[in-house]
Amino acid sequence: MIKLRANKRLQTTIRNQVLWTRFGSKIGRPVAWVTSGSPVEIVLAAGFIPFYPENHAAICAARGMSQDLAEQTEAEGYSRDLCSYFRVDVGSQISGRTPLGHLVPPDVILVSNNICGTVQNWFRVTAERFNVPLLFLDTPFNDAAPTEADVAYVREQLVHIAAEVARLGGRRVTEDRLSKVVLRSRDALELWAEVLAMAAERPAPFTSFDAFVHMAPIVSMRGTRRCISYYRALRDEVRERMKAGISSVPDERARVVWDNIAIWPVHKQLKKLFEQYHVSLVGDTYTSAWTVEHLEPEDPFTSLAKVYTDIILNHGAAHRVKVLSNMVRKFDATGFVLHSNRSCKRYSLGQFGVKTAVSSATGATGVVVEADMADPRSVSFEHLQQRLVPFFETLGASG
Amino acid sequence: MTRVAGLDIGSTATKCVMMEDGRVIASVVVPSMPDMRVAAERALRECGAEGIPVLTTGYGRALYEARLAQVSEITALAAGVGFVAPVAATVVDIGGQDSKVVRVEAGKVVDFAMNDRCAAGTGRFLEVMSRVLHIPFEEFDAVACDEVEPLPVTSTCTVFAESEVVGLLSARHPPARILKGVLTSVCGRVASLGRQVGVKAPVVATGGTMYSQAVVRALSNALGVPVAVPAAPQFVTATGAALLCARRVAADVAAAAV
Ligand code: SF4
Repeated sequence: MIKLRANKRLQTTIRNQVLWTRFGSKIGRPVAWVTSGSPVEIVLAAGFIPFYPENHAAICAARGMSQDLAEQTEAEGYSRDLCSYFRVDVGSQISGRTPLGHLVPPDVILVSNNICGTVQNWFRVTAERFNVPLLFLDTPFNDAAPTEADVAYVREQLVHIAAEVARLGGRRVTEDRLSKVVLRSRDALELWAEVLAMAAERPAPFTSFDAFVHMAPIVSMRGTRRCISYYRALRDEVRERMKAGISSVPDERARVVWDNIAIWPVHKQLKKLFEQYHVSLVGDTYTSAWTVEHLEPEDPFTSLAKVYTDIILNHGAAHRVKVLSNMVRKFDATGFVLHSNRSCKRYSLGQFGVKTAVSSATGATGVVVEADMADPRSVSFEHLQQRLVPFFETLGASG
Repeated sequence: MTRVAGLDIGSTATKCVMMEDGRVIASVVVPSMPDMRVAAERALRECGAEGIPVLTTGYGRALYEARLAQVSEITALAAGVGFVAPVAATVVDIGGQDSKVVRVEAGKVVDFAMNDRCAAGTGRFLEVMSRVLHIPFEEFDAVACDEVEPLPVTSTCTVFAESEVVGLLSARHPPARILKGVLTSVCGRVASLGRQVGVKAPVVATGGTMYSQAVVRALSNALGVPVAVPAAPQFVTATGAALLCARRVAADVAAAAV
């Protein structure tokens, strides 16, 4: 098992990003807290420093802090059935504890409902706590693809949001400035897509276990130059591995794809289990959500409106079946794992139907595992093993 | 003349099956508790299977260190069913700790669903209820016979169901009708598990609980298709393990010969 050199680089990159956020806010740059699915390009063009509470919650979870933080939020009366990212992030706001040292408070909060309804309430609660303005982007749910009317409706809101962030302490967002940021986003998204696509190679030089970790910059730094150089280096390294025939798992015997967010509390254990059975996790619907096409610097408002309305969670089950089936084919997988994520209802609804449909479309074998992305109390490694081992054996892999 | 053994170290019982030239020549079952490792050794000894290649399966499969290999219960169960009932398309297994529905084809797994998170729909549920009702498992068939009408018992949670049963008892409902309700509840839960993979006939049921005709009938009612039970339903998984062991030994011999 040869480790990626980029693992080190990732740590430095994230650390620098944290330092930059802190330093920037000290020298008077305004800070915007944004959702993972919100058009960050606009706040960047306005000169804001973005901060991603969802990403922050994932970091807390990966560092083993999530249960403690979630309990802080539950003690305020919030139900344990709510999204664990919400509970972890708000717990950090309440207690002031974070692996980042301290949180840089927002000047404005930007939320969009293209990922779920929970995040809307989470950010509203947060805006109230910090007593700052909340900007809300409403993206209509897709039956197939965004209609012209949808795009026009979202575009209008984006123009409005751009004016608001300028008024709330930012620079004026000209089309020109926005185009530049959009172009930088696009470059990074393309590089990330290139990295992920290389997992189609046999043996896979890079797996989704790597992707779940190396996605952090594409989520929280896209639109910046540092993000591009990060992914350029990663792309080059993975390409090198691919050319040298270096496999991510020893002696690859089966290839599977994944649906839903990672299971952070047991991420490393799970990775080991896959390795032990020589199974490559070659693709997933989550990290590939940041590989959108059609991000065009010409007419950036319209392009952003399209892209942010079209994201995977803003579609129904039929779309998921299509995305997963394509992925199974593209990556030449014989199986797929559906993580039924207790926290993320939007992502987990209808998975049994999806399983049957993807199986009959592709002939691949599916399995549903129950867990949670961040709350260790809802994750049992024993259970995961109980499901995954027979699944692996069915695919012809053995430990 | 090679002898091999399959050892199914389950949560309640440990089963050992010894095979020779594709035939089962001995089988034993011993309780797994309190020490699964001891139970494994005892089962092998009583089976006369000491010193021969052993493939383990079941909850405690990693505990027996002198094994040739280990596989999950699902894989072993499918292999076993392929041997004892090759025509089966679906296997329903109600074990002590979990229940599973496996779609099979020629001894291989096509798809499976299992309930291992909750005691409802498993042998544990029956165990708890048998204790509350003071009806031992051996008497299920005599008590829950065809003429008895079942009383509704919830199938979502063993703890809820237990207090429900206590309530029904204290309201002086006949235990026979309650037991029938309990069986309907367990099998209903298993049937809903089956819908995840699609239950295709012919259906075979395995696991120690299938020694009771009342359970088999309730299961077949819940699934809406007839259910066949092999001669030794408790040993199917261990038999599968023995078969896989024989295959492994043969492959090793072939590899060594090259
Ligand atoms: S519910 Fe899902 S989409 Fe919504 S914030 Fe939580 S993890 Fe994200």
